[in-house]
Amino acid sequence: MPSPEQIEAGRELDGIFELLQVHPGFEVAAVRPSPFVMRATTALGLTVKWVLSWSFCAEFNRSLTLISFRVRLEASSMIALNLLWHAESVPVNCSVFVHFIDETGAIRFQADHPLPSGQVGPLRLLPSQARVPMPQGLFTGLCTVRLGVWSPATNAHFPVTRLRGCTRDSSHGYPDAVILGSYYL
Amino acid sequence: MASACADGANVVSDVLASIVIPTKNAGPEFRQTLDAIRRQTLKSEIFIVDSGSTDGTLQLATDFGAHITTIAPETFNHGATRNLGVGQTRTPFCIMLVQDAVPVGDEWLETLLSPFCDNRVVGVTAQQVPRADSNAVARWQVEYRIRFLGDRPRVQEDSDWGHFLDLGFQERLRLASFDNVCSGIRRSFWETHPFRPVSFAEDLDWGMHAIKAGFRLVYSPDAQVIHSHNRPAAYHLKRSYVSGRIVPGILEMNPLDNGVHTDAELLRSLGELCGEARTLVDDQVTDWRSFREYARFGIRDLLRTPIRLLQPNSAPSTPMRGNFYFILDQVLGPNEATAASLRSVVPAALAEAAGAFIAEYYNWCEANGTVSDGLRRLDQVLSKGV
Repeated sequence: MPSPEQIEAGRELDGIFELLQVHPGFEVAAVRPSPFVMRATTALGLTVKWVLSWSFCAEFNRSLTLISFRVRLEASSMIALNLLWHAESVPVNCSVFVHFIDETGAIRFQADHPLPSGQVGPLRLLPSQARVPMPQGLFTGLCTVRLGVWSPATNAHFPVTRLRGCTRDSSHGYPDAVILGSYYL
Repeated sequence: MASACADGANVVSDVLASIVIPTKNAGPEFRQTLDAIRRQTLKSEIFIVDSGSTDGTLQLATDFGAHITTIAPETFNHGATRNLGVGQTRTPFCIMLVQDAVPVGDEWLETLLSPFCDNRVVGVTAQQVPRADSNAVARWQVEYRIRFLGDRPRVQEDSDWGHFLDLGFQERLRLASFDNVCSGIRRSFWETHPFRPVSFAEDLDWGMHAIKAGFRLVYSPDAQVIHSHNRPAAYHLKRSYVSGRIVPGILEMNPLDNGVHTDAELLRSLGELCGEARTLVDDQVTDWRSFREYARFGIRDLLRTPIRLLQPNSAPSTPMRGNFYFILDQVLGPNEATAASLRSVVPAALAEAAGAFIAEYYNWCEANGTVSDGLRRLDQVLSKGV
């Protein structure tokens, strides 16, 4: 039994279609996701996640898993960060914080960036990138990369719920972040 | 303030501004508008140009001492009718107001007039705020406009026309923006640059002329009117279409190539997006973000997946589809939607996205001389009643 708002919305859509049908070629297409394709795609995405996270993964809030990352120093003194996530559902209003910290634990520079929720493909794989200029003369030596996820709307960090191949950052007051690795700059 | 800002020769008594309101069956709520005008700290005269009211609007206006001119309904024109009203005023400044816009506060008029102290300013636009009973889409439209124009007073001018023509659509729109829902105009400039007798966007057209002539416009968010409309989706479609047809021309933009070059491509895109909207309404969809990803992902896409495994956004998309989901995202916000809230937004979002897309396609066809009979018929229907 359709609800009143469903009937009203249906009536509104019919009003639009009636206008568009003035063009003799207009026809409303049947667009409905196939349950089989949805299940198969989800399974394929989970398989990819399982394979890629064999040696490394960092799961946040049981919903968002970092399954691959690459930190690269480019010739132009830019640091390029390429991340690949698997999302259980399309993440909304999520941001990644990436801290480059020195041996004393101080943050020397950051590569924070929002997760582009509109780019989640059907496999639920979500790439995210950031490029930051390395501050000239500011810092050389061993640099540790710390990463976490937070919601700018609530200002809350997502808890780390599973780890493999990386460690939780418990020593610098960021228990909801992981250490991806250390690099000589 | 009056002596500092008025074009002295035109001042009649102590009244600095006339308020011109085109009306037609304004309803009992019109009293709120007239009451708000009466409460102002500055005196003004009200000029009504009525096109066939039968609901007591004229009596109400008479009770408030308004000057009334009546015209035949079929002669109403957004530009010409306002010119008729302004032509009867004698004050140095005129306020353009629509019948359902309610001024906020007692200093609305004074705030709206204060930028005219700068002699180069010829027009001032007030900020609109949504009515308390506005639906989610109407509220979003007003708030989106506020975000677009900003919440601080802004002077709009570009003394270098060549620079203006280097700007993109959004920048040109922001620079020439002028809105007769509530605006102030300098009468001396209007005498040489009246509104053109156009059926839509006479205000933006006038703003363009002001900028082109080297004058200044001011956006004054401190002067506010309550104004929004809960419109049916079919009206959203028409208004979005007409706006898309006319506004780029006013801003002297070249027609945009949106990637669709034949009626068949347009109709396929339209039909598919309409089908998506129909499913969103008919099914118990709440996770529309996931639906967006899966809706057009078929068995062929699944089979092709291994060779483009990591490619995001593999579902086919058009600017229209992107716009549709952008509006859903904007109106519904970051939290998960209920089926009811989603259904209340989908028709208007479809209408807004489709109207703009068809208009872009029509403009492109028109520039290339490829407007088909079917498209022309669609244009005639969508252009009526806005």
